[in-house]
Amino acid sequence: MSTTSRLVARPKAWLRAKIQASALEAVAELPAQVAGMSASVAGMSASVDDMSASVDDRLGALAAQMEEERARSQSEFRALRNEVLALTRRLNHLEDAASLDISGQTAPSCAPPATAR
Amino acid sequence: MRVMLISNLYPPKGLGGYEIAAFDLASGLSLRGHEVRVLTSPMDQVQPASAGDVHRVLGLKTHGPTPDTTLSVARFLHYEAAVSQVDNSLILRQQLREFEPDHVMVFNLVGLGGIGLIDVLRRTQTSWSMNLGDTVPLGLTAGIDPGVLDVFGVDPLNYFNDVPFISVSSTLTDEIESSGVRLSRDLLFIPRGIDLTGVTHARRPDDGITRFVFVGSLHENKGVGLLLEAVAMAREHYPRFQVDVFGRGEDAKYKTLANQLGLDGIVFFHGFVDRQRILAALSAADAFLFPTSEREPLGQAPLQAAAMGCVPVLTEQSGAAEWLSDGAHCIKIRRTAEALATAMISILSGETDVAALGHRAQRYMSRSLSYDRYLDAVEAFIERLSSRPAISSAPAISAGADEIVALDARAQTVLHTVLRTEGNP
Repeated sequence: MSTTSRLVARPKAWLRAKIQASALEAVAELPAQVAGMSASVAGMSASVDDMSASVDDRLGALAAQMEEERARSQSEFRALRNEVLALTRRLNHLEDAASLDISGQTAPSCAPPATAR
Repeated sequence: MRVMLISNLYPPKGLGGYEIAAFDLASGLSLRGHEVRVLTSPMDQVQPASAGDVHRVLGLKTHGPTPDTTLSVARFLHYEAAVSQVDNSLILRQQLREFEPDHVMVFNLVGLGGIGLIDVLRRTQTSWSMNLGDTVPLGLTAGIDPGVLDVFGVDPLNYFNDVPFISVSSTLTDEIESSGVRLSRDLLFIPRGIDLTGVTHARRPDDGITRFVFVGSLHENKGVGLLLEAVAMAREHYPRFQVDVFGRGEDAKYKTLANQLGLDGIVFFHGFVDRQRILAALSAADAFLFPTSEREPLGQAPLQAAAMGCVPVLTEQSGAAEWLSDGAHCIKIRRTAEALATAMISILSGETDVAALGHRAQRYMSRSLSYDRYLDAVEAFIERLSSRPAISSAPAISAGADEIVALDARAQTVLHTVLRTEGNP
């Protein structure tokens, strides 16, 4: 090996060693970085979970409220329908009685009016 | 006419309005000269003289809560109760041959193997109808494997759409139809009249005490707990009243609650008593408290009270509320203790003229919704049906005993296969 070659080879070795050391150092830091990133992702995930739970809670509350409203309106509707049916049936009987009075005939064996569906 | 009635229970067995309705109809039709035969289940009490020709020959299985057993046994018992008991089917076939009815009216068939009985009625081309006082079409088909029902040609949603019905209320038919089951349009809505033959109206005692009455089974669906809470609330305002409670059920629970609420001396539990005593109590009372479930198909008790001039205070969604007008014949309430207490207080304070309402209710029941009118309507319904072709989805099928036995055997084979496949314990 010539003197020139030896002069060039020395810095190359030094440089290689330097690069290797630097790479090792970087690799050694990787787990910590990954752990940091992982923690960060976990934090974000928890945050998303919290938001999701909050949205779920809100949706659940809304669904329950809607169900309550639906049941209440259905219940109120049925109460109203019952009263309308009762009044209609009563009116049918009154009409029935009135028509018999007007005709002046003997009352036939008449059934209570059936409600048309 | 020769009329056959079929009911899972028949007085004095059973407590509910449904079986009492079968009894009252048998009595009424018999008195009108019809030949009535009743098929029902046996009982362990001394049998009283009953209306009609009562044959207690049908086996009744698991009527009421299912026993604490394995799932497979429970499902088999359910099959026998709802779908088929071949002995009952054969007995019905024999009874139809002997009695040759012009019409068969079925009441509650749950517990008797109702689908099998209906199949016999269809196979024998019998004129028949259903008298609905509960969700019987659902009780006979819900929870049964489709393959089992298929043996009997039952599509649960359409099996009843050619059956003429008498129904006590729209509340009831709406509940059935809301599950997808289609009912026939041949449907007569009518409350059951109250048979007051020989009943005398007692005078209300003039002692300044307002009397309330409750009649029914002592369970939460009838609102007994709500009633006691309402009594406690009303008592804070008006102490001079009493509540007479007739019926049995969870007696101990409600007696304890009444005691805890300090209602001793106000609420009196009388247990199960005969009808005459109940009518006498209604006649002497001012109002009938009935905070029953919103899905109550009718509620014969409040109509009975109205017929006796005792003003019903009842749940505004219940079936009976379809027949009585709020503020004219009754007081309709939301099903809460507070609403019931408010109604009681309006009576106790004199704000509600309970005497006028009672008089009007009694008049309405005796004229427009009378027992005679009910019988007229049912008679006309039966006469019309008996003169037209019978209901049969398969007119040419055999009604032989062998065929009926084979059908039950096939259905049981399907059921056992399903139970094995599902690996039920």
